[in-house]
Amino acid sequence: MILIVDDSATNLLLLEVVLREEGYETLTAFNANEAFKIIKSRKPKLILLDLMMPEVSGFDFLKKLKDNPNNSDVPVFIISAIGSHDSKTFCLDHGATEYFEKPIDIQPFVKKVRQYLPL
Amino acid sequence: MPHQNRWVLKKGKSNIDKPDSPPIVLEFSRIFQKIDAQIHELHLCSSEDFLGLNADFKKYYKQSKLISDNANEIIHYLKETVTGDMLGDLKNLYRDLQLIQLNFSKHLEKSIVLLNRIFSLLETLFLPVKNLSQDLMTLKFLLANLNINNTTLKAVFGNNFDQLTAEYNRVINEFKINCYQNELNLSNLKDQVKKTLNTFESISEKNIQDLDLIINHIHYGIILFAEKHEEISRQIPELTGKTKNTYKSIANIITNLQYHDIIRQKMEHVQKTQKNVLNELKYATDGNGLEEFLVKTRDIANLQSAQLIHANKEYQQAIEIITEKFIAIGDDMATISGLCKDISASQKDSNELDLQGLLDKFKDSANVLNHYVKAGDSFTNHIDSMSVSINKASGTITGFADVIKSLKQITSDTIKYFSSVKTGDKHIEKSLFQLSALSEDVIKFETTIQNVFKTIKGIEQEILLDIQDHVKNTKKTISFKLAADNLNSIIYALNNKNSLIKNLLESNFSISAEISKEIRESIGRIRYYEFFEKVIVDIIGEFNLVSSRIKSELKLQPENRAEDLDSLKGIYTMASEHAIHDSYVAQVEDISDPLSKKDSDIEEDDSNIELF
Repeated sequence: MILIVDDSATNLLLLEVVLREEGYETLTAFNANEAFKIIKSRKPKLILLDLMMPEVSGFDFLKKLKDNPNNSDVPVFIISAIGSHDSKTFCLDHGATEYFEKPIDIQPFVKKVRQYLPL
Repeated sequence: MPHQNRWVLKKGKSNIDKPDSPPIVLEFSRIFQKIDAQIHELHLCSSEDFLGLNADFKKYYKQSKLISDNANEIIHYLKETVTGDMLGDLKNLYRDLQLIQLNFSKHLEKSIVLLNRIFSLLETLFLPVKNLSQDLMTLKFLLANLNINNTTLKAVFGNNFDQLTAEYNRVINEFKINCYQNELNLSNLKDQVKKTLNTFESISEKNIQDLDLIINHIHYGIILFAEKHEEISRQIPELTGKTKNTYKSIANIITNLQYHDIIRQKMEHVQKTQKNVLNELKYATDGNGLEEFLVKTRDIANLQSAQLIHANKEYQQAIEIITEKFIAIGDDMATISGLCKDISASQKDSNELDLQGLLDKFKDSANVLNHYVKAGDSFTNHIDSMSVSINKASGTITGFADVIKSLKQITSDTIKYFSSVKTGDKHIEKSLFQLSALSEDVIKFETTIQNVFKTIKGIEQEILLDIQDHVKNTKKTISFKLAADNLNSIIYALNNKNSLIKNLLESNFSISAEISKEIRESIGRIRYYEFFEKVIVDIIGEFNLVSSRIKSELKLQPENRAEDLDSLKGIYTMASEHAIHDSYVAQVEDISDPLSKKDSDIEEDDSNIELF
C-alpha cells in the first residue's frame, strides 16, 4: 500500500489515479494526523509526502515518522513545490528516500516508485 | 528545518483604525484588504477549474489506457491468429485436403469405371438369361409333347416313362426357380450398381467443385493471414506512435494539473505578504518610519505584481496545455480506434471484419465438408451393399452349376433311353433331337452367364481392393471426418478470436466516441480561464496604483529601494518565486516577469498588462 499525504485535493487525486492504474493500492490523507492514524492501523510500503501542509508540516511529519523505530524503514518520497537546497538537504538528512519538486514529471516518478516497490 | 520567514514587525502602537492615521495608510489598507478578497476569489475559481479538470482527467486517463490496452490486445490477437498455431493448422488442412481430394477422386473415378463395366456386363446377361428361360419353357413344352404321345410310350416303357418325365419336370422346375431367383438377384444387382453409379457420379461432379471451393477458402485464409500480418507490421509503428503520444499527453496533463497546487501556494505567499503589510500599516504614522515603510510597500507591491503575473502565466499555460492535451488524447483515441478497425475490417470504410468474412467462408466449407464425411461413408456403404448383392447373385449362379449337372444327366439319360428302345416314332425322335439341342443351348447360356459373372466377381474384387487401398491411403493422410474436425477446431478458435476482437473494437469505438464528446464538454466547463486573468489584471492595477501613489507622494526614484526586502524572500518556497524576487532586487527596472523572458509567446500575451 502506498500512502499519499498531501493537503491538495488535486495532487491526491492525480497521484492516486496514476498509481492505481499502475497496479498499486493507495490510501490518501489530507494532513499529517490523518496519515498517522492510517499508519497506526496499517504500515505502508511507501509514503508520498507533501511538505507544505497546515498544522503539522511535512518536515515535522517526516521527523516524527522516522523517529519511530516501527516506521523508520518505510521509504518516503517528498513531493513538494519547495525547491530550495536547504529543504532538500533537510528531508534527505531526516530519512527521506527521494525528493521530487512540483510539478513532477510523471514517467520518471513512476519509474522510481516501481524501483522501490516492484509489482 | 528550513527558514520560516517572518515579516519583521515594527514595534509601536497600532493606529490603523484611528482617525489620526495618515490618509495614504488608510487608503493602502483598504486596497490591500480588497486585493486579499480578490486573491481569495482566485483560489476558489482556480480550485473549481482544476478540480473539474482533474476529475475529468481521471476518467480520460482510464479510458485512454483502456483504448490503448484494447488496441494492443487487438493487435496481439490478430498477430497471434495470423502467425500462430492457426496459420500452421490452416496450412496443414490445405495440404491434407488436397491429398484427400486427390486420393478420393482417384478411387472414386476408378470405382465409377469399374462399376460401369459391371453394369455393361450385367446388361450383356439380359439375353442369355432370357434365352435360358425361353429354353426351359421349350423344354417343358417338349416334355408336354412327349406326354401327349403317352399312350405309345407307355406301351413301350411302362411306368418308367412317367418317372422319367416327372424327374425331368422336377429338374426343369428347379432350374426355373433358380433362374427366377437369379433373374431377380441380377436385376437387384443391376439396380444396386446403377444407384451406386449415380451416387458416385454425383459425388464426383460435386467433388471437383465443392472440394475445390473448400480448398480455395482455406487458401484464401492463408493468403488473408499473410496480408494481415503484413498490414499489422505496417500499422504497428503508427499505433505505437499514437499510444506514445497519448502517454506524453497524459504526462503533460499530470504535470500541468499540479500547477493548481503551485499557483495556490504562490497566491498564499502573496496573501501572507499582504497580511504582513497590513500588520505593518497598523503601526505606521508620520513619526514612526512612515517614509521607510512606504518605500518598502512600493517594492512589495511591485514584487507582488511580478509574482502574480507569473502565477497567471502558469495558470493560463497550464489550462491551455491541459485543454490541448485533452483534445490530443481524444484525437489519438479516435485514430487508434480507426486504425484498429482498418486492420480488422475487410475494406476501408467497411464494417465487415476480415476474420468474420473468413469465418463465414470456413463455416460454409465445414458444411460442405460434412457432406463429404457422409459421402465418404456413403462411398464405402454403397460398395459394401453392392458387394452383398454380387455375392447373393453369385450364390444363385453357383446354384446353376448343380441344376445344370442334373439337367445334363437327365437329358443324357433320356436320349440314351429312347435311343436304345428305338420306337421308330418320328415324332418322338424329333422331340429327342430338339431336347438334346435345347439342353446344349441351356448349357451354353449357363456357361455364358457363369463366365460373365466370373468377370463381374473379378471386377468386384478389383473395386474392393481399390477401396482397401483408399482406406489405407486415408489412414496415411487424414479422413474427411478428421479434416472436418480440424476445420471445426479452426472455426472454433477463429470464432473466439473474432469475438474477442469484435468486442474490443466495439468497446474502443464506444469509448473513443464517449471521450470525444466528453472532452468537448470538459473544455466547455472551464469557466474561469478569462476571469482569472481579469482579476489578476485588476489586482496589478491596484498594486500599480499603490506604487504610483507612493512614487508621487515621496518623489522617489526607482533606485531608492527598501533595505530589508530579503526578509520577504523567506516567505517564498519556490525557485521561480526566488528568481523573480532576486531579479527585482538586482534590477532597477523591468521586473515584469523575469522568468518569462525565455518564452516569447507568453511575453507577447502579457504585453498588454500595464505594470507600474
